[in-house]
Amino acid sequence: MVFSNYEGIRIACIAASVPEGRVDIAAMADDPNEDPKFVKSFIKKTGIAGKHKCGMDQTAADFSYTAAKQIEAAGKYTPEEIGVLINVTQNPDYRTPSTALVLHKRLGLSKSCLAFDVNLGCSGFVYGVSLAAGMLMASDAKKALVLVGDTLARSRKGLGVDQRSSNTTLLFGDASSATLLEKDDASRLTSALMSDGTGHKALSTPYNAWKHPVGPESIPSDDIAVFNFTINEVPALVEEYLTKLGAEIDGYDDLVLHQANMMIIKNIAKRVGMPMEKVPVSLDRFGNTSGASVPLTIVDKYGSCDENKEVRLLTSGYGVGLSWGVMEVTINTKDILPLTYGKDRYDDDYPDE
Amino acid sequence: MTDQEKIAMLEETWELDEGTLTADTVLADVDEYDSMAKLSLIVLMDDEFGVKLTGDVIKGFETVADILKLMENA
Repeated sequence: MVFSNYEGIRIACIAASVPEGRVDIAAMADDPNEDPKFVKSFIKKTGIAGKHKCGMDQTAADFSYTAAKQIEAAGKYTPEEIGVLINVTQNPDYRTPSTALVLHKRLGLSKSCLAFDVNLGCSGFVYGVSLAAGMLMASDAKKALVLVGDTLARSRKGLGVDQRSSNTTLLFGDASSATLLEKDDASRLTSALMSDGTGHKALSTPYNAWKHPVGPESIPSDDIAVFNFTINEVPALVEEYLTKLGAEIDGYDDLVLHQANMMIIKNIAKRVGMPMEKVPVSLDRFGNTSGASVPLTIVDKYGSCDENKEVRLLTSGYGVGLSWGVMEVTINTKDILPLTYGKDRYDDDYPDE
Repeated sequence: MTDQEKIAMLEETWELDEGTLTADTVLADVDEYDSMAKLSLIVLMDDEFGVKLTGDVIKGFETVADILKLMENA
């Protein structure tokens, strides 16, 4: 593992936003175009009974924008204070430039701010926050914004809406998060990150980029390889990270895992010795929301909490890459904002063909 | 552990009625033996028998007996 220690950096605020449009997967069992047995079996096995999905007029950047503006409106930052903007997404608005630059404009940030995209999925929160913490610690920037969002439920071309549902079409939900980092001498952030490129084919969308310019929107994932990876590598990394910190799993209020599916969540929790009462779940209502799932789950649990208390969370993201990481998040519940339903849209004036 | 006990474990894992499976049952004929069932088999074999199943090994399973053999080796 790559263990990082960011002295003097803390997470100051977390927000998350999802589309207003909700997909009731349970109700699909009554849809004559669906296979009721399949739908019921899917819900039972994955734990996903609903999710949020945006229309063709919104992108992941819109929900990231909404979440970032919510943090600004809460008085946690002013645009000129942001010196680092990292946007983690697999669903950029454009092939170029990085969507981070579009968000830089939309958020009214200053020129004294670095901004770029990172192409990662389910490990995106841990990676993005870690990257931003390092850049913040090494620079004279005051604050950093990490936006993590994907719209894997929304199809790219609007195709497939009339097709019968499959595991892949039901699994994913759309969501984004925004996380604010700032300097604080009394705090520190740590993370443990890992990669395994030999698994790059296990979860992949190889077509419609540069190597294979034409092809299908998606290909089947290697579910068994991914499952074996998550239930073996993630608990091992959690253990190594805790040993490095000299910490015990019992010392955490919650284990916040990437919301892949219930079977993976339960197995990781069991293997690291965390009871399910301390493993919050949001996928039942939001589906697998890729990189945003960890912050979304934190917001889902604590965003409406009126108490003023500090919570110590052990978070982990894992998936496409293969890429995975673990990070402790210590934050006051008043700095975790309530979930929003993003209505923002960006009119870029480009004509659609 | 007898074969019957191992078969009972498989039935429990896949939430099948008792007596649904025999050693000769062809897995392709079991409706419930889907992708998620394979994941629960991975967990069962790892937790109870210390056997780590790969995709290739699972692809090679034709009958329940093929799984029972791996349980024996553990």
